[in-house]
Amino acid sequence: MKRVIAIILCLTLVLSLIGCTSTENSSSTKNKEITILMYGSPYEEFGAAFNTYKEKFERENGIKVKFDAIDTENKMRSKLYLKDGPTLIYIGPWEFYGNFVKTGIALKVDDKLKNYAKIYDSIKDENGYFVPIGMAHYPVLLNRRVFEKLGIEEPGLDWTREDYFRIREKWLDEEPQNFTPFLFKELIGNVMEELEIYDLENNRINIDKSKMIEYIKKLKDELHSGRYILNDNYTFENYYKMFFEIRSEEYKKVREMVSYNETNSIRRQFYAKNALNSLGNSLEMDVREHIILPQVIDKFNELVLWGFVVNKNGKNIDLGLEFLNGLLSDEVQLELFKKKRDYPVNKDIEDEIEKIEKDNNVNEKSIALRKYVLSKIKSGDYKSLNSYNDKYLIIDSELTRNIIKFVFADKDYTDEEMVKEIEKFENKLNMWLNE
Amino acid sequence: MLKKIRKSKGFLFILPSLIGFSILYIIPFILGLRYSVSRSGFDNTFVAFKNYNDVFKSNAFNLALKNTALFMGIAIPLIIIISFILALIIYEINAPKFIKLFIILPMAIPSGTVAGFFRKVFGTGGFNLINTEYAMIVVVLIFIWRNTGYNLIIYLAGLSQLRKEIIEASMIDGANYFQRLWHIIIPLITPTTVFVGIVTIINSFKVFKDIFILQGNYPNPKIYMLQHYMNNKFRDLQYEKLTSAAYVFAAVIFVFAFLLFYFDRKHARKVGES
Repeated sequence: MKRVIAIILCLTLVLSLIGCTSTENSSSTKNKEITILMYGSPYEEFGAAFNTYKEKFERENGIKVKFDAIDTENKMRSKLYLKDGPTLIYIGPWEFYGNFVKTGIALKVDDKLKNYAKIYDSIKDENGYFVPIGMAHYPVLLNRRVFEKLGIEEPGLDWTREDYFRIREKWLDEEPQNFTPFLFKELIGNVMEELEIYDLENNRINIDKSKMIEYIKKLKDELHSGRYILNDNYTFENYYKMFFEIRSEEYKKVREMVSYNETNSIRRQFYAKNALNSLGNSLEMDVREHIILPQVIDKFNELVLWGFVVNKNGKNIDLGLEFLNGLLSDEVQLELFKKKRDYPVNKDIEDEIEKIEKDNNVNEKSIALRKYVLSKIKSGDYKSLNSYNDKYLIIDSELTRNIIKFVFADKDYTDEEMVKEIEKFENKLNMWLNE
Repeated sequence: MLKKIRKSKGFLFILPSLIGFSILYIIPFILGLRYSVSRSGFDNTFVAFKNYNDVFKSNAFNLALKNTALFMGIAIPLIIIISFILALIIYEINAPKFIKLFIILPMAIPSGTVAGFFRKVFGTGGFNLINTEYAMIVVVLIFIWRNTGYNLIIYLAGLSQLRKEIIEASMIDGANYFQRLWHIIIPLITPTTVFVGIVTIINSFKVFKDIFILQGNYPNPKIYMLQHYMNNKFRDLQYEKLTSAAYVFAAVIFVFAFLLFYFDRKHARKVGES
């Protein structure tokens, strides 16, 4: 009897094990389709050129290109655990692909795509996993009226971050301005470099406490220098909402204020035209109030790339690669430019782009801006988000949160309390880095 | 045949439970082993012991292992001693039932309330221990406060099973209370102590919940436990590291449990001989 029970148990185990193991040849593999996994809604993300190509590809190959839009990272990962999972993974403009490479999801494709060689060398993924399709550079839009009022000379294309801050200082000295998170974030935009807290080589956080305390005190002094109009009734909670909760009244109020108060502001905050697409921004250049210059304030807007990685466990990988190869072709890439939003990553079509600019009488300033930005990209001066360590960005955002906590606290932290809090923050990050 | 079935009917009764145990514990255990030697949950490439090597190289894992061992090394013997002493007092003085109730009550209090109370007492404004290098004391206190009642009940059951005639015989022989305790009660209660030990080891993992509520994913490094490490790996879906750490942890627990059983057997033989 014991033997019978042992056999029943073994059989149950074997059957359950088989049941738990996913089969490689599911019926979906036979379907001629490729799936693109992505966050959010595909129709907002992709431009018209992409959709036209998609339809053409579907027609010519008799297959379906499907989008699988999901809203959480966990859902995305569970999809990637499938044996015949999605073929391609869309990497949006502010998304990282490093983790897909590290965990072995991404397939090395540089030697599998004929048109990969056409991509600008400076934006190629050095390990050959990511396939960029389009790129952008979001410029700074300054207000000419303010320049005239202050009697400041307009900067040229080769202006710097320091130039911007010199202009900003004069503008704030002239008349106090309403405080906004955007103005504050400009101040701490280089905090990682200034405080040098991340030792990339040893993967450690080392915070010089006195330097950080000094930095926070300087920020507080700046905030209470009389150059900003602060809401006296605001507590830390209000400021927190203003910075981080986009559905809060505080955030909405500030956004509204920034949007409607552009005539007096030095800079238009919500300007999202691609400086590389001269066709798309040509008309903007002629607006009298606008001075459009290369991005020098937010380094993450200098080179924005979007593209795909191929899922090693995906279905119909060959078709997926063919699809990507087509997206990199001269024809589709040129179409991207013509649709006035993205800029091609294909370096072989520069002459055609110039021709289009000439045929469409594109503004000379737009062309100059495009050429300037492109030269910076080619020389590697502008780096995309993915060139930064993904940990760098998380540390940056955590540091920003902590600085905001200290600067806007209802009751000032003493130096001793600040040291304790900074130590806590340092320990937390070091544990996370060393896990 | 009928005779055979009758003889083994006990096995038939436990068969459903055995099947459930096999499916819910043995299969995940086997599948987990596969994860621990794969490149990642997404990539089955065999990497041998690389993940184990990475886990041992991780400063966070070593810190967690050290803290967990320290916690178990201090808290488990301490709670066993305290619950035994309390049980003995209650047993000897025949304490009223409501005293037992008060000692058991902390088990029923939700973790959130416990964490809130301990934060108030030992956090900023109170004794200010949670953020210092003595934070482990707070964790040990939470653990003892919460779990003493459970152990106490087991000990009371064990004490009530003691054969009175042996104790009475020793009294006639002139043994004083401490001699009786040392030479009769403690040896006879050892099987209960082994059981309490195992239950306490299992319960000691639950202290993570209280620390997590108190200080989140990354607490004061002095109270960063193995469960924090594993929980964070689970959050990041790094199953290969999670399973490797879990097997290391399981191996340590097996060794502890084995040692407890070994001493219990040795002791039983000794008691049997005398």
